[in-house]
Amino acid sequence: MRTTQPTTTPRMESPLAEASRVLPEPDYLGDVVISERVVAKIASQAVYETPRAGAAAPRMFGSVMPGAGHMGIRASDLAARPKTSAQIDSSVVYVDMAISVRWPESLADVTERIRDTVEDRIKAWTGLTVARVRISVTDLVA
Amino acid sequence: MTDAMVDGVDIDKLAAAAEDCPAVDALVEGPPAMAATYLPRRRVTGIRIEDDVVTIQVRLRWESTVGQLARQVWSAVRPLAGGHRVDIVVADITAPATGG
Repeated sequence: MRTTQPTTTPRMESPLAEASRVLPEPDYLGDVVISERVVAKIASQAVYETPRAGAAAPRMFGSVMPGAGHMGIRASDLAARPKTSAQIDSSVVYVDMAISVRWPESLADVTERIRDTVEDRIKAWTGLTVARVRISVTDLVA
Repeated sequence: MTDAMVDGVDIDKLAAAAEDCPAVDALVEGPPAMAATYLPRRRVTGIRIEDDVVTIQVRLRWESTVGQLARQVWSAVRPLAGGHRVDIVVADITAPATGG
């Protein structure tokens, strides 16, 4: 009898436990899902608002195309939004962006400023925690 | 337009209530939730009622927070949702005003 006791007790409890789970919890209203596009746009805007940084030059096979501007392809532009992507893993965000920086600004200074703005704004607006903002500086614009 | 009742929920009233929230720019369809309700000869964008869950997919207004959005939508929509759980999907955000 003693060996069966521990197994029978949970079985007796389980129907009650299931029933209580079916009842609606009063303070649970539903889920909120945030799209990665929303986070990417918020991050991208932070760069746009910085006059010292902007959209990066177009890339081909992973590297910047030198002289792309002369071929009529969009060049690095300090007044444009950079290409940005975001990944959301439950409540944590990873942001990747490719930017251009105005010559001769300090890259460390500019990227730190952008990183702070991106982290603060995403946290404040979405409640998500930014785990990483990876910034590739692919061009310097004079 | 006749009243469209889906699972005891007046879907047009629900859509209007959600759309009136200040933080909501519009109800949107497409990814990620693909929320839409197909009715005879028309379609309601951004709302899906399935089992005991109402899913509302919206475009957030720039400078509104997701927290504000959720509070507004829940308080507006819950009385109309007939006891369904209300899930909110923030699919997009409006572009901020340029020139600033």
